[in-house]
Amino acid sequence: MSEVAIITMILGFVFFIGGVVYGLLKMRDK
Amino acid sequence: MARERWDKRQAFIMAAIGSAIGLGNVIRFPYQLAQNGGASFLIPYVVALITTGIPLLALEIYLGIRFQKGPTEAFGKVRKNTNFIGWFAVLAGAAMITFYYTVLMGWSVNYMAKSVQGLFSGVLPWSENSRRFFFDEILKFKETPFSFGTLNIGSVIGNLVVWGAVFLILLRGVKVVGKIVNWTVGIPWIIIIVLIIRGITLEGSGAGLEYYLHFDYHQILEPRVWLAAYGQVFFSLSLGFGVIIAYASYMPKDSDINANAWVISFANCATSFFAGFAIFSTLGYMAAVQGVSVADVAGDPGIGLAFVAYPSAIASLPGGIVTQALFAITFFFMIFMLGVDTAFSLVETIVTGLKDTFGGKRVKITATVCVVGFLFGFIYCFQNGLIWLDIVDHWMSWGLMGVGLMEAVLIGWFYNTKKVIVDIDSTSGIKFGTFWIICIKYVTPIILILTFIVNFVNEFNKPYEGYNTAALLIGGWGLLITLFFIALLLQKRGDLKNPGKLLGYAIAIAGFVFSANYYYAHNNALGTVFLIVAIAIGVVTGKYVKSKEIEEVMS
Repeated sequence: MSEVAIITMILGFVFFIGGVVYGLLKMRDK
Repeated sequence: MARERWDKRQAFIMAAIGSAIGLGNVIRFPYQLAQNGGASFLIPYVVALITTGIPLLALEIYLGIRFQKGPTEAFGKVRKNTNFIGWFAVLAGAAMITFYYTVLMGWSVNYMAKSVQGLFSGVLPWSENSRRFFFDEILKFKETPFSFGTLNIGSVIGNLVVWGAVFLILLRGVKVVGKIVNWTVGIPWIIIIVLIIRGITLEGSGAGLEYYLHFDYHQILEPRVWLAAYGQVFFSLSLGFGVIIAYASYMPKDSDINANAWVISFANCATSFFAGFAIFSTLGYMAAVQGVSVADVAGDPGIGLAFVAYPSAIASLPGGIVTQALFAITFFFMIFMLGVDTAFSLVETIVTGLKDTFGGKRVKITATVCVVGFLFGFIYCFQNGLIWLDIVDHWMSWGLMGVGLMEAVLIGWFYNTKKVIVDIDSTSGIKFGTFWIICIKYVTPIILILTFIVNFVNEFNKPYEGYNTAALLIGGWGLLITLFFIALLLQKRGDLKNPGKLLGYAIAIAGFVFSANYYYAHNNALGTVFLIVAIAIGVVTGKYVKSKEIEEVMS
C-alpha cells in the first residue's frame, strides 16, 4: 500500500472518530 | 394524550444513526470514493457534510423537536399550507422506498438460508458463478418490464420475514425501538470490524485498499465529483425522508440539536469509511486469487456488490466450507441488521405521520402499514421485479432531493432563520451561528438546484439503464408526480370531494407524463411548453370548473 493510502487511513480514522467524540463531549444532555 | 418519549435521550441518537446507516454505507459509499478520486474524494465529501449534511440534519431535528409533530404536521406549523412537503416525504421517501427496501433485505434472508444449506452440502451454492446464482436462482430474473412471469416465492418469504420483524419492533412504540437500535447498530459495527480484520490479513488486500484510497487530486476540480459528494451526503444521512423529523418529535423540547446532528453525521460517515476497508480488502484478495485487477472484480456499485461481488469473494476464502459459510451468514446478517433499522425508521415515519394527522391507535396503524407494505412488495417479487425496483429507487431519489430543497427554501426564505439559529444554538455546546443561515439559505438550495438541472439533462439524454421508456414513464415520472399530487390532496383534503379540482390534478399529472415522453422522443424544449400548458390547464380547471358542471357532463 502506498504512503498516501496509509496517511489517508490514519487521518480518516482520527477525523471521523474524533468528530463523534467531539460531538458527544459537547452534548449538553448526556 | 401525552406524546410518546424515547426511553433515554441517547436512544434518539442511536435510532437516527441506525436509520442513516443502511445498505448504502456499505454498497454505495466505498464505490463513490474509489471512482471519484479515492482519498481526494474525502475533501468534497467533508465539505458537503459540513455545508449541507449537518445543517439540514439540524434543521430536520429542529422541526421535530420544536413542533413535537411528525413530518405531516410540522411543516404546516412553520407556514400555512406546507404540510404537503411532509406528506411527499412520507409517500415518496418513507413509503415507496420501504416497500422495495424490504424485498431487497428479504434477499439477504434468502442468502442466509442458502448459506446454511451450503454448510451441510459442503459447498456454497454460488461458488461457481455468483452472478448467475443471483439472477437465475434468487431472482429468476427476466428482463421484460411488462411481462411479470411467475411469482418468486423465496422473495415473498424473505419480504414476509422482514415485515414481521418491522411490525414486532414498532408495535410498542419508540420506547422499544430505543432498545432494539443498540443491537441493530452495534452488531453491524462489530461485524464490520471482524470483516476488516479478516480482509486486511488476506493476501492481495493491499492492492484493494490502494484502489480504495488512491489519491487522484485532478478529480477535485471536476464539478461531477462535487455533485457526487453532495448527493452521497444527502442520501446517506436519511435527509428528505421525514424520518429525522418523526424521530425528533419524540424528544423533549429542550433537547440538544446541534450535537445530535453532529454525532449522527460523523458516526454515519465513519461507518461508510470503515466499511470500505472491509469491502476493498476482500475484493483485493479476490483479484489476487483470480489474477485480475481490483476494478475487474469490483463490478458496478449497488446491489451487485452485496449479492454478487462480495459473496463471490467469500466463496473463495481460505479455510473451507465452514469458514466460508460462517462468513457468508455473518455478512448477510450484517446486511439484514443494517437494513432493518432503516426499514423500521421509515415505517415509523409513516405511522407517526398518519397518527399525528388522523389520530388512532398505534397498533392498528402499524399493522395496516405493514400489511399494505408487504402486499405492495409483491410487485417486486415477480421475475421482472428488479427492473421496477431499480426504476422506483432511481426516481424516488428525485423526491428526496425535492423535499430537501423545499424544506431548505421554506425555512431559509419564508421563516425567521435568525430566530431558528438562536433557538438551535441555545440548546447546544456546539454553536452554528450565521454559518448555518448561509448553508440553509444559499448553499443547500443552490447545490440541490444544480444537481436537479444536471441530473434532469442527463436523464433525457439516455433513458435510465436503457429501460423501455413506457416503464420509466409509469414507474418513474408518473409515480413520482402522482405521489406529489396525492401529497397535495392529503394537505387539502377538501379537494377530494371536488371533482373539478381532481380533474385539474389529473390533467397536470397527464401533462407531466406526456412532456416526459416527448423529451425522451425528441429531447428539445417544446416538452417544457407542453408541461407549462398542462399545468396551466390543470390549475384553471381546478380553480374555475365547479363540481356541478362536471357532474352535469358526466350525467
